[in-house]
Amino acid sequence: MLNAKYLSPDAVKTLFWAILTGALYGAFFFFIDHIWSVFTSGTFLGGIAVVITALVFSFVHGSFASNLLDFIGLKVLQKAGD
Amino acid sequence: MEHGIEAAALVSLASVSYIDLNPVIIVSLIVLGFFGGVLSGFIGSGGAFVLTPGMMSMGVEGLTAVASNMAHKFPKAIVGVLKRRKLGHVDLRLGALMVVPAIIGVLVGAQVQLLIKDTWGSSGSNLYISVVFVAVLSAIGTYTLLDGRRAARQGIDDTTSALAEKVKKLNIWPMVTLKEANSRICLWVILPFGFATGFLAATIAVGGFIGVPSMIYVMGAPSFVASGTELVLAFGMGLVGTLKYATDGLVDFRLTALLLAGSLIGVQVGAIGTSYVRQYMIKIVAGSVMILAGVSRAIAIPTYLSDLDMVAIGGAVYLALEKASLIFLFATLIGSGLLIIGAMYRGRKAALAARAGTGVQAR
Repeated sequence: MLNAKYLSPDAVKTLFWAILTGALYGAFFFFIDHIWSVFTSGTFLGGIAVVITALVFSFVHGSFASNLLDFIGLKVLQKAGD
Repeated sequence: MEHGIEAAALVSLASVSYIDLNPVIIVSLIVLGFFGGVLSGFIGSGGAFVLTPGMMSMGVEGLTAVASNMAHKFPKAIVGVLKRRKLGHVDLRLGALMVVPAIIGVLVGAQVQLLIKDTWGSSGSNLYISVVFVAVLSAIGTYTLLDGRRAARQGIDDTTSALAEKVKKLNIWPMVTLKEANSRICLWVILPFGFATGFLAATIAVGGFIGVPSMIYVMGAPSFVASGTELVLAFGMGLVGTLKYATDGLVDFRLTALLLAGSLIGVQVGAIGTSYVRQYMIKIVAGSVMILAGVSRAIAIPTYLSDLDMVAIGGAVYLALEKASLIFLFATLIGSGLLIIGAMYRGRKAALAARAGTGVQAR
């Protein structure tokens, strides 16, 4: 059984955002028929829905990506004088 | 007038067609997104100059590709801004001054796009987008590549622009001091470049081709500040452009979501990559990819001319040109992505080896 005690804080955060990201993509494609009718309705409300969804995807998946890169140790190189 | 615009939007909506997704297209979009994201984070021009042609080569209508790309680009841009700001690569004042005319440019450009689509159909729209791509990519790509090579040969990190030095001497009210860009210039120089950036963004989803070079060669900003600040513009223009195109039903969010799946990781890898290489390396990569992406689009132009009955080409040649355009673009994209990741790997290895003696460290 997965025990959070054995996972580093970085790993827990990455796992949390990974699950949320997976759920978001899963929900989007599972409910695609309903979402599609709103997004392609050609109305201002449809436009707002697209913008908000894009921001949510970006925030959730962006957080996952950022935590993942920190977790695997890919970081900005800082020179001595910086 | 307003009724005319509404009618144009309705005509556009009725004629929008969306591609069928199959496993090959789904995987291709994610791969396209990842390598496009790496390039985007690395050179700061949004990466759309490979994503839009990439989607078009997969059979997505030009205008839908531009619109879906904008929806994918603006949230990604804000991630890039937050990353690059920590590095001191974003001049917020310059970004704010350019974004207002850029948004006006986006709205004008989007209206031109809709007009072209309604007049000449999808093929006319595809041809317009492709011709603009080829012209802009070849011109800006060649200049950027030559400039990067000049810096590499002179053994300097980055070049200074003679034009920017002259522009700085133009002392007309109101003058603006740009801290991160390390420049003081006249506001009237900034505004038209902002508008042109927005217009181009609405046309090919890549405003950075005007935004970034104008900040470097006209306003005198270092290239890393220009590419970081362009992300501020990309966010503002993308937000308004997405709303405009989505309200006309032109954003295919399935494509947007799949591109985001790859690019949100890629953009962060690319942004981190800028700290591992010298400035001229960014220019050489950017210039080379622009030229090659332009060639890929040029290969596809005869197919659109054929659709408009302006030239006659056989079915086999038509299909071969379509495939060649797609393969050429993917080879360019994956090749450049691997080049960047390879440079990061070498840079990191060298930094780790030198860390103890020189105080260089990864944070």
